[in-house]
Amino acid sequence: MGKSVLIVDDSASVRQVVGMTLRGAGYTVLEASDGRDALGKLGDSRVNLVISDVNMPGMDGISFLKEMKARPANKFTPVIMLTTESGDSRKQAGKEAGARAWIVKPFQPAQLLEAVSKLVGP
Amino acid sequence: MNLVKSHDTHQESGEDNADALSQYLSFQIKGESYAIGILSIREIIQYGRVTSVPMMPDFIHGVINLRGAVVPVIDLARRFGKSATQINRRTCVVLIELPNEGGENETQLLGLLVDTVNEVVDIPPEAVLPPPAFGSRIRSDFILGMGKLADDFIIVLNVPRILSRGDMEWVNQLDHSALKADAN
Amino acid sequence: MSLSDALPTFLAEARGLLEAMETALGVLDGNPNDTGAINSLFRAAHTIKGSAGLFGLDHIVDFTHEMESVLDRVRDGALSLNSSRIELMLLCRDHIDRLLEVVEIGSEPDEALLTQGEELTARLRQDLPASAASPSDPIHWAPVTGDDPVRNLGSDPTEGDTLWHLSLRFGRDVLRHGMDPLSFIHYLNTLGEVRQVYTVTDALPPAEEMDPESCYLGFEIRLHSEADKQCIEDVFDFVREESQIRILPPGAHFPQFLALMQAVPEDNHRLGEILVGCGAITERELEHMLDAQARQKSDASPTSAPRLGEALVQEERIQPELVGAALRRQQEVRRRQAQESRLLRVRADKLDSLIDLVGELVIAGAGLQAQVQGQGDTALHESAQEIARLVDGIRDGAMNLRLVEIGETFSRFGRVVRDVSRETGKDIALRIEGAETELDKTVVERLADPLTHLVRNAIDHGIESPEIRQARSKPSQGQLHLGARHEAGSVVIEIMDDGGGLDRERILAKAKERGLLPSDAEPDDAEVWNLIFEPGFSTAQSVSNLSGRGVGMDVVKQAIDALRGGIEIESSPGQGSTFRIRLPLSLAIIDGFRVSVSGNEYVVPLDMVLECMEMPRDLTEGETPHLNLRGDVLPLLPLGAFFGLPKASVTRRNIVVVQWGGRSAGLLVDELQGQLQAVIKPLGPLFKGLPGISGSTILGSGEVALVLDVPGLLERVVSVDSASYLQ
Repeated sequence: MGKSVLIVDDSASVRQVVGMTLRGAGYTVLEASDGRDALGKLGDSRVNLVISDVNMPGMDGISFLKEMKARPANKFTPVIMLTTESGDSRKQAGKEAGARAWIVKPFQPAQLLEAVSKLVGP
Repeated sequence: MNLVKSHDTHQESGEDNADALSQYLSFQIKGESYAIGILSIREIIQYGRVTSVPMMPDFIHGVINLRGAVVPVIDLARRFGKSATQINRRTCVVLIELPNEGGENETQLLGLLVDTVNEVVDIPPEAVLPPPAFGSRIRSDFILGMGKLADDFIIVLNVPRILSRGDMEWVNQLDHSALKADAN
Repeated sequence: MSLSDALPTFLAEARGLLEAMETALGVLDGNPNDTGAINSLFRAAHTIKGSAGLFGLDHIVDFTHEMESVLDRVRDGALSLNSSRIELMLLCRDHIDRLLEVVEIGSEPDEALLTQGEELTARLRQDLPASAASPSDPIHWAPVTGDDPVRNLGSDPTEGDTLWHLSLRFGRDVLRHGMDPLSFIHYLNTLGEVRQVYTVTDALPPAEEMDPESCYLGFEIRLHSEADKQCIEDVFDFVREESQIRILPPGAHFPQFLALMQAVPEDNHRLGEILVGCGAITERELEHMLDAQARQKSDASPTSAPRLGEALVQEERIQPELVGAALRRQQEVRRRQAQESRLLRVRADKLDSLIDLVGELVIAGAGLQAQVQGQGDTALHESAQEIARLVDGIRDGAMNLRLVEIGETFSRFGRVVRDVSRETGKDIALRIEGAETELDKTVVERLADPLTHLVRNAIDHGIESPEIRQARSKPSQGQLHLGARHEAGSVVIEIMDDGGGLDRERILAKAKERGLLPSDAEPDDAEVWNLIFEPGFSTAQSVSNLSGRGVGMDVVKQAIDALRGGIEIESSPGQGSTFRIRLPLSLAIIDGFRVSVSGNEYVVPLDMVLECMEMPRDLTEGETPHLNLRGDVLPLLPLGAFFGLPKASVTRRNIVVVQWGGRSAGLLVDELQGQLQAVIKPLGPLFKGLPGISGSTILGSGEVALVLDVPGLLERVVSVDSASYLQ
């Protein structure tokens, strides 16, 4: 069984393409449409990587990150935040919440795959 | 001597252009008197130290050193189709300045070989008559007009015409013809 | 499953977002400050942009990006949504809708739609600050302690030089941030092959102090990779801020770095810029080092901060050899710039009048020498000698003032070659040699046009198209070589191409057709090549845009003749042509050799004189125009006969052997008068084209002497049967 990745984004198409890309590369992919949904899907289980949008209805990416890091199971889970150029002010908040990897939207699936393999290996 | 006189007149007349326009330098070639407007005359020097240039038409007498500048000297007698000027102690070179053909604002200095320089004469514009259609001793297009003096006429020369390169075209034709003549 | 399978999801989602947009805009129309509606509007644009990017729908990304930027400002309170902005947003929404329709039918936006998009973009931009470029994230570097020298990893002697050396010290918090050092090391294998890993455990605290969540490890890694430094550095993007990452390039890359250093533009004369320019360090490393330097400067006394090169070596980011090479390059650039800044601009006419004066001085000096010769006064003689020596020095110095390097003229041809190559669809490399060769300024200026013509000719007619070259099994890239060098008192300039060469048969046919040659003539190659200098002679079958316009080679030849120079051609079919221009070093003052013929004085440029001798007694005139000079047959030119001078009665005549451009001949003269310095005076337009005479000079006596045109005379020797003069 491959490594598991949770993708959190309110855009179904983003989830679909990211999911497709990562599955194609051998990862197991979970999907959630916002932070609340993601925390629920995670429960007490552990994933190898979380990819999360910042700007989402319901619970946004930063709040989600803080709550996730507070849970022992995913304290060390690497997170890739999806951001936009215009969302730079958010980046500082994300940094404080423990995010280090950022990918600027829009991105190509290949770029994402490269970042994922840097963080968790192929 | 008249050399000094003509030169001084030139200097003075520089301040009064209207006057200068009607002043001419008269000189002699083969016993004939000719005149040139003094405005184109730079100076008059005694003949001396001319270097001949080979393979040039016979009316190109040679070149002289005028205070560091190399200036061609034209034998007017030859240009008029007469025999070459006989050099003696009265022989002079009249230096004239002409606009350079093809060069903007550039002038070309040329020397004219004359037997003797006479004097500066006043010929008012109304006293310069058109050249005769025929009967003169030199080509009529070399003549600018006939200057009427007290008791005589003097030929006023059309210097640019005499020295025009278009008319002379000497070197290029000469180059080949001279060589051929020599080679045969 | 492929990307296009996900497209319907995207379209449905985007349409939903457009609906949400419309709803939000409806709300905002009544209540422009409704935060929820503003957020929803922003998010819709944001999400469409993000998704469109994944599908490579760049036009939708670009458009929604502008929209998003405006909405971002609205969200921040910098802009208010008045009715005109709401109307604009509605128009934008509709535009996106139309873009989606185009995507759905699998087509591309048409002209009208693109224009509409541009108009809307322009309106959106009115609401953005002048530069809407996204502010980049400032890079913060962890302070570098620099006290952990990398000595732990033994290098493999067999391939050590081809391996990158990575020195990694991960930050304490990387694990907490979800970063696993191992995964980065694994990732390195995608760039090449990790050959050795050495784990550095020096930082491990005693067990009781150890925090299991902290990272204490460092790694020394030797990596085999063809990737560049930037690429390797990028692997550590996510941990760079909190870790120390040092990457030493392999020694085997040095030659490449050194070559690249030479190519770094000369205006970059700072060490860091040179190192970044050649790829030995990355922008980020430079920025980091400069920051550290600045910090140290403000912390300690201003002088104690190490210099950039030292610091880079100290931190093992780069090898000392590379710093050394970069420093040398820097000095070279600085020296050149310093030289340039030491230049003094002088009006050319001031210089010319100085040169004229020096010319007068040389003549006056010669006059003085002549007079002193006759005196018996030794002291006077010595003084005169001393003055002569000084005049020599002044003359050389003054002539030197006029010398400029030809390189500037050459380098202009880079542009010509590029432009003309593009116009003709040819691939041509320009190689320049001897750019530092100095020439008289006037010569360089007057050479520009003929050189341009020759270069264009070489590109246009010489070098073939890549297809033809390949068919002839030549490299598809043509070579054009421009070279200059000094050679025996003259300057030689070569324009060499590796094209098809001149077409002997075509030139011959044309020359015969034009009556330049009798129909049965069989001239040798050199004579054939010279035919192209005949006025109006052009062999280009199709008159192209570039050259072959009729005015051409004859003008080139005239320009070079006017400089008292010569041009010769070498050409071989299929291999290319060489045009060799030979010019005198100086135009104004030369060393000359004075001879007399029939009482006339002539000056021969000394650098063209090989030797002088008495005419051998057994060589009587009229017998043969040749002289046997130590086994070589030397044609003789009797100068007096050539110039049509009356024959002088001289008991014994002399021969001056002259040489120019590989040809030599003996000039038959009456007397040898010795050497002199000759100030060249032009003879003026009256004497233009006079064969055998190139100018004049004024002797010490004040007399004018004519300067012989040796190249011209040599041509006559070959072209005219000199036997005819001897009769």
